[in-house]
Amino acid sequence: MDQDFLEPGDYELMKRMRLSVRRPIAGFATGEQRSPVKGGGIEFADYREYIPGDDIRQVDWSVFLRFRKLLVKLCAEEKELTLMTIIDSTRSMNFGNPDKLGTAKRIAAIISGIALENGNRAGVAVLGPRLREPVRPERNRVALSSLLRAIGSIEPLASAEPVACLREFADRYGGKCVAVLVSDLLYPEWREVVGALASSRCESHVVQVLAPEELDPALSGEVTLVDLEDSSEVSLHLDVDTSRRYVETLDAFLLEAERLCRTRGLGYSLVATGTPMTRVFHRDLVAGGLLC
Amino acid sequence: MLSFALPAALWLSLAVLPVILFYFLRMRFRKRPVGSNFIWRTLLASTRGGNRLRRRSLLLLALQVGAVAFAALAASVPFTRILAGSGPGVAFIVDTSASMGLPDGASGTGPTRLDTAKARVLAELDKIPAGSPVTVFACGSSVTRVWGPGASRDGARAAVASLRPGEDGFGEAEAASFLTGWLAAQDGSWRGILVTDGGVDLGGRALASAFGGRLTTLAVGGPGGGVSISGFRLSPADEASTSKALLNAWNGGERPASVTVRVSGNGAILASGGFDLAPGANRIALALPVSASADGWMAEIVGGAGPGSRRYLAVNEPEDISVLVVGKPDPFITASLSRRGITLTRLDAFPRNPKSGRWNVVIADGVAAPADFSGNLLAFGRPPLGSPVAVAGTADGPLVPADYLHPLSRFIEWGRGRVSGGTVLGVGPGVQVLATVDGRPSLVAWERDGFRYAVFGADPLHSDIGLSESFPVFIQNFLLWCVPRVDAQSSFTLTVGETASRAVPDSWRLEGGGSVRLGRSGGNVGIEPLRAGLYRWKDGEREGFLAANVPEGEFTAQPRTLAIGGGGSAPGFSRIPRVRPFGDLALLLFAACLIAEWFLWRGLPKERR
Repeated sequence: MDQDFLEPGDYELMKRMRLSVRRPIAGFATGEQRSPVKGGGIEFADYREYIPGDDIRQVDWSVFLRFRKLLVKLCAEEKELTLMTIIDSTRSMNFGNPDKLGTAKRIAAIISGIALENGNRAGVAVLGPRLREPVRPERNRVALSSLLRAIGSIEPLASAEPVACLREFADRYGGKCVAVLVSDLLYPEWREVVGALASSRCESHVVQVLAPEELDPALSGEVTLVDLEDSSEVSLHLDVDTSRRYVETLDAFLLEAERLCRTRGLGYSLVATGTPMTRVFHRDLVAGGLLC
Repeated sequence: MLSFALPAALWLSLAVLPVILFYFLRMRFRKRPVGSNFIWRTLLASTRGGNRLRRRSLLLLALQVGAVAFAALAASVPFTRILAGSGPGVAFIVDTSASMGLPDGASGTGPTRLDTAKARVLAELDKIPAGSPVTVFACGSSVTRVWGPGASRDGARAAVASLRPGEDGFGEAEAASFLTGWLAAQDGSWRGILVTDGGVDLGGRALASAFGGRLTTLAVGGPGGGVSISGFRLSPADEASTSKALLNAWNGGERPASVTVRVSGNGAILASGGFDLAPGANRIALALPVSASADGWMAEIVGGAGPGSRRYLAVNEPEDISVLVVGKPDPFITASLSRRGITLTRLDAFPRNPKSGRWNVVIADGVAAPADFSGNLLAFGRPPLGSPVAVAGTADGPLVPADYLHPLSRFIEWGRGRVSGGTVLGVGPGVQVLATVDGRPSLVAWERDGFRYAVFGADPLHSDIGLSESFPVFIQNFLLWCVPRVDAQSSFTLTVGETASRAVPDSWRLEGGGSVRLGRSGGNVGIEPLRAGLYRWKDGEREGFLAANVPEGEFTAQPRTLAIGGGGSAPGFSRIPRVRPFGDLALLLFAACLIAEWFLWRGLPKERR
């Protein structure tokens, strides 16, 4: 089945985790997602001093009796949001053990499941020659099955134009959704990709997925490295010194990617394939500000 | 030009082809897919387009190729054959014996022969092509290398200028032996230039042989005007006259010379007199107011200069030779030892401490010396225990000489001697057989730890040996062999540069500082005076003098003609081929390539490189 890429524990994560949204949600329908907009919800958020015109029912009388201060109890307004998970399916994602695309598909599926479990809409887009949407954003939990089937059927593509795709995404969903890009960003135009995502005015999050072989390549001697993306070759003599310099270059790249994302208002998480999903979601994505 | 002893081994260098082929094949076959080369390309861009990393890879290949090439080169045993453009080396052998300190010329004043020799050497140095190595040796009784080998002419000139005449003679045998060894250690060919006044004791033949005939002589010195004395001795007083000091005086000039000669004893001037010396050799006698007793004597030419103007004479109380005879009384042995100068002690058995009596010689008749015995020993019948000689049977027959050159065989003729009831001996290595009975050793001798041993398988009392006229001569030979000249009054009047062996006990001490070289061997001590003079010695309560004189032959002022021809011109120079092997260098480079490749392959961190 197309949902075979998921494991039983992944469904538990869908039920237990919640998306963390920092910006006001532009949706109209009331949903179950805790919104930064304080108002008519039922979940306590904060206090503020009473000003004329406030609903008198929101005054916390027990606080008044104790401190003789009129404080209005604010509750987060729960609204419906649309989550769009954008999966990078270029050939470079078909590398590693387990491969990066498989990990990206699992992350996308679980995040989408979390959104649906919380009464939000969830959809998936794929970076290819053009932006492809196998499933349009759906709201009900019944849509999870078709969503998982669509994610499971994503295959690596021979060519991709990630910058053009994200511009197309910005045109289509600009300011209307929460966007999560799952990619390895291992292409020269990664800065433009981050820029295009930031310009979509969506609350966006980048989940960078890398294989352990990329984080610490166990190579030595005379080798010719063949790029899965464009079949280009690099011949090298690899020794301890060169490997150390590779790690330093990669660390600098990752640091710059995170810094650029933060600068442009994007959330950022680094995920190594092979890391247990519970750890990815409870630690990496929570630390990155995507989940809570 | 590079040549090869095993040129076929160069085919091994073709092994570089598979190395190169394998290198590129390995590069081609070891393709490793990666998700993206993006980071790798970034890394290459940060290392100047990856040139450094690529250079390292190529360096590895170069090291592998180099290792194979150097291994093939080493296996082919390469060498170069070059023509030494600078010509052969030149070794100057400058005579610095005492005669070279004599004035050179009839006037008796002016430059010495050594000064003339220096000028000749400097002139020859200018003729030698630049770059040719030069060595300068100063030769007296020993050889001193004062310069080189080196191409610097300034250094050679400074070394020549520093030469000084010694007080010894020219020991040609020692010089030839030294130079033969030195030449064997040198590269290329060497020629010798001997600069001398002819005072070379072997006539230059040994030196010429050392240089393989490539020796040229430069004779210096003309008829000299110097005056010297030699042959200093004392004559005892008799009824007709008092004691006299007798001297030989040499006048090297062409006219008579007047000199005043002074004789002193133990530092006090005893006599002085003027003499007119005819050209050539003269004999002079000077009456002494005292008797010629044991003392340190000196005769000198008043106002004379140089070592030839003084002679020294040491007169000491004669000391008896102490002989211990162990065993049964033997009239033949006793008769042979019954003379002046020998103190005889007789014991039936060996004393527990043979050194207690300070015996110069021990004669054991029918008694085996103990194994721990060390000393000069003549044994009859039974060899000493622990010696390399053992009894190997009985002997009965005429004694036949086997070694006529041994000191014990001097003046010996055993023709009528016959051994009866004696023994033949089995001998070990290092033992010389002096006489045999029926072809088997019966008289043997050897040396050990400086002491001398002889074993005679005959009993003098019960054979014809004791009756032989050679028997007392044999006993005297043994005493002289073991105890050289200790009984002579002037036995401690020695010559500078010549080693004399004297039998003195361990307690004998010389007050001479570094002017006399001593070397003990067994019961004797070798004495080599380095400078002329009078020295005091002590032996317990006894005291005496040691005199050291310049060799007498050094003052016959006429230069002598050498046995070898003297050209007086610089040797010819020719280009000599020189072979220089490179196999070791190739092996070294091969090892260096392997080590460098290993370090590079390990990829040491930059900080450690």
